[in-house]
Amino acid sequence: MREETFIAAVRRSVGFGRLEDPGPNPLPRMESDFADDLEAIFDTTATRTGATVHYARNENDAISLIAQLMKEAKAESFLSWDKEHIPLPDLTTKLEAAGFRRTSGHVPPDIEARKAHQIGYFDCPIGITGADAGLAETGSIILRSGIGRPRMASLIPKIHIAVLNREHLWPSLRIWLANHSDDATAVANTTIVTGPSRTADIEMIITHGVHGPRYLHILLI
Amino acid sequence: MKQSVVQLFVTCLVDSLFPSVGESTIAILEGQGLTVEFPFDQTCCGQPAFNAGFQKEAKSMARHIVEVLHDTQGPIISPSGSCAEMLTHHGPELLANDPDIAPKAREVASRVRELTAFLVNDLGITNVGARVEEQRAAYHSSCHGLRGLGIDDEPRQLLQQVEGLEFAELPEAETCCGFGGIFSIEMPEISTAMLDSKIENLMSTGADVLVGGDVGCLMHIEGGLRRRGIAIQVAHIATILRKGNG
Amino acid sequence: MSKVGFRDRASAAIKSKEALATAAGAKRFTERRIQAAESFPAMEAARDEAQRIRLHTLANLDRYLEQFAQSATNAGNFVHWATDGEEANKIVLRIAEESESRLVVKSKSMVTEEIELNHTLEEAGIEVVETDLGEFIIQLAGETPSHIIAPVVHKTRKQIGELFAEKIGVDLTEDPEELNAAARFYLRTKFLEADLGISGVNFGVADTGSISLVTNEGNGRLTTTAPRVHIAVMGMERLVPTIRDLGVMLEVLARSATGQALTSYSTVITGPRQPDDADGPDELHIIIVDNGRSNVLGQSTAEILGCIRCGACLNVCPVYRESGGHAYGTTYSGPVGAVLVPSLLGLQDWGDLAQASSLCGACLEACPVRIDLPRMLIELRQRRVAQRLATPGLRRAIKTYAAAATRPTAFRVMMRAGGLAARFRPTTSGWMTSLPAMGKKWTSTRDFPSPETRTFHQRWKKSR
Repeated sequence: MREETFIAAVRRSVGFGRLEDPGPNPLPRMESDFADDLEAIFDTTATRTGATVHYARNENDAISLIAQLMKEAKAESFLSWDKEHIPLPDLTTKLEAAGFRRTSGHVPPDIEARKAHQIGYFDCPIGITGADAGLAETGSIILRSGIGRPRMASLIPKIHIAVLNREHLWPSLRIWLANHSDDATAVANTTIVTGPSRTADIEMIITHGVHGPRYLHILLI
Repeated sequence: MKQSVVQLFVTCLVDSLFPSVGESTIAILEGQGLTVEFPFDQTCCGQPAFNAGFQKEAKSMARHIVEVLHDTQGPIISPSGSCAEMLTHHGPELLANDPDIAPKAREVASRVRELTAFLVNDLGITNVGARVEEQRAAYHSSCHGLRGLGIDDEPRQLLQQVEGLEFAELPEAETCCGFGGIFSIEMPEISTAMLDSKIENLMSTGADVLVGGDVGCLMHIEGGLRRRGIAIQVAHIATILRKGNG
Repeated sequence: MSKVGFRDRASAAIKSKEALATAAGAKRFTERRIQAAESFPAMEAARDEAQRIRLHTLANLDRYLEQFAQSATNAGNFVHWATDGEEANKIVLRIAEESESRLVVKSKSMVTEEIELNHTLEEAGIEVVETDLGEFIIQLAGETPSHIIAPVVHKTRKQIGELFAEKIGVDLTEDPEELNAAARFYLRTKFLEADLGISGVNFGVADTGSISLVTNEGNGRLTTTAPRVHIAVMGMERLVPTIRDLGVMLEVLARSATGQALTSYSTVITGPRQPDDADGPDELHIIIVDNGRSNVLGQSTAEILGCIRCGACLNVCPVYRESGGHAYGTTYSGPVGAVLVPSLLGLQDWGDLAQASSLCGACLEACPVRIDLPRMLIELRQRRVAQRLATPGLRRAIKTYAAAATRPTAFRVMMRAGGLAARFRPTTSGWMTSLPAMGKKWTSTRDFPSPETRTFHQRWKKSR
């Protein structure tokens, strides 16, 4: 159907004035209940969602912590964002040097090649990403798609490790959006991740990792 | 608002089925030194018709009750959250487009009080000096009083001051008992299922008596208890508050 | 009336395994929602904002739809318009055929349930796989969802275990962890090999043309990332003006739905994969569906279109708890279904849903966008009365009663007469055990108080 015909039917009904227009919502409430210690609050709220929060003093500590997590998971390979998008510039190089294989996250355009590439993700154990922001109120991290930022890295592996610069902690989604509304929609996909994948579809019993990662590690640097 | 004289709006169910609740209401109010008047031409607030979708009939009934009540003085007290809510909210809504009656409907609405809310909020009284034989009481929150008028704490405060009464919290006290006026006859099976859930919760409290503020819900619950042979008493809060002080 | 209606379906469901499981789930959802609201001090303010955003959008929906379509097109999406379910299904089928799709993965969507999209695709020989765990179970069982956000709230884990063993050949288990693992394994290949992903839309953002999708499992993200083509089917009322407004909606949605502060994955999608993006769909189609909604927008129940599908009203509704979702007979159950379905599909066939409420008001209290569901149920009942669809017995009773209640003398006579007539009915300690006509529906399960011989009016007159 043509847009004009569709809209005309809507416009006719709007014309009946069944709903009083309260006007657009003014700028949202900007005060935060979480002004003081964002890091401590983030730790509490993220932990509550089922994520694990880690801290590293410097880049070396961070990299060895990640390598340790990978060893514990008996992982041989990982899927990750490109190094310039993770606030640990040497991470992927050093992991590769340590013998971990990096799976390419770039999906080829041809349809069959695309499927074949993606099937290769089937058992991928570890995904490593940066994070554009962290939200104290909800314990969330924000991931934007783009060049060198495969969405699958935070989605398909059983374990997702996200590296977040503590300077990018914000009080709440509301406040982050008010300051970054363009950033959120300039890319194809912005995802706010709050804890690992979960479901309560069976008798309301919460379990993790039904489709997305079962474990979410957030490393604050 | 001059408070030495009050008007009683007794409601149609109390009028025909539970007149003693009206008498108890008078006794409680007189016990507070108030003069109680009863506008004799009062009938029904119109809620049964309104809830069933009979707007024209609801309007005519609302108009009648407003005409009867508006020429009176003092607070209008009703031993029912449901009917008080009808007169407070839906009456003025129904009559809003009739300029001859709309202001009167709003004026009446501003004076309407549910009994326990009047005692606690207007008079500032939580102890009316009631005494009962030792018993355990549970309180059921009727929906319209609770959600329409925000009556929640008032009856509990009053009951907690009754000598001899042990207060038991009813699980899911705020869940509908399944009465809903016409609903109980239009959807009898679901209405009964809701009643059974209410009774199950009631039995878990070990209460001797169930107290409430609306005879509609109470007769539904009592009717269910009687049919099932369960020996829990049911009482309107006015009946309890009157006990032990004439 | 021989037609099977809500009353028949609900009566059959009472105390069934399904209804009991539903009630238990609904109560737990409600506890979690209340906890979430209590631990979020700004909840009431956020609800006010959310209500305002929805009402403002609906009151200007024509304008926002145009803006959305323009921005979405600018962002590289294909925007399609469908006046009804049939047209929407045809558009999906055409895209599926043009992209030579043989395998479709779907993330949970109420609107595609409403238009019965799966049926159309399957008839065309295309394999459709539901990927939300609950929807997947429903699909295996050949059933329909019984709850907006918890499609299998009516099923026990034992039943699900048996179903999995039978349909996907896994060892019999009742352990939710193991059942999840089985579903993850089974569905993963489907995701990675699917040609087409179909999702619903939780919110569309008018000024940027973005669509937002929330899922806890991550199946929404996989559906919209792995396949080369993504189709988003959106009910036309799902818009909000700006991305900031979206933030407010997300704030109240998860708290009201599952009691989480935010859903695990809240995604904002603004167009297909951009040049050189690592992954994501090459094509993104947004199908905007009317299917009766523009008609509802012109009705006195227009406010129902503000619903954000959190399910809170179902969870608190005592009628829903006792009867379960299937008693409502369509995709939308509970109080929202009781208003939306008769508004969309007409009172003749679906008006009885408007009677499926005691008007207790619990739904209004729970609704994150403060939709006045009880008011609209009464509106629908008024329409039923106007169209002479109300029960004739009820009509007579109300008219007789109203006539008396507006004539005080007649009223007093009627009340006294009730007391006299009651003397001839059988009683047990003062309560009647059977009544004639409509009264039978009461006394079949409950006693009824015998009217007092002297009414309050008589007592008052005597005492003064």
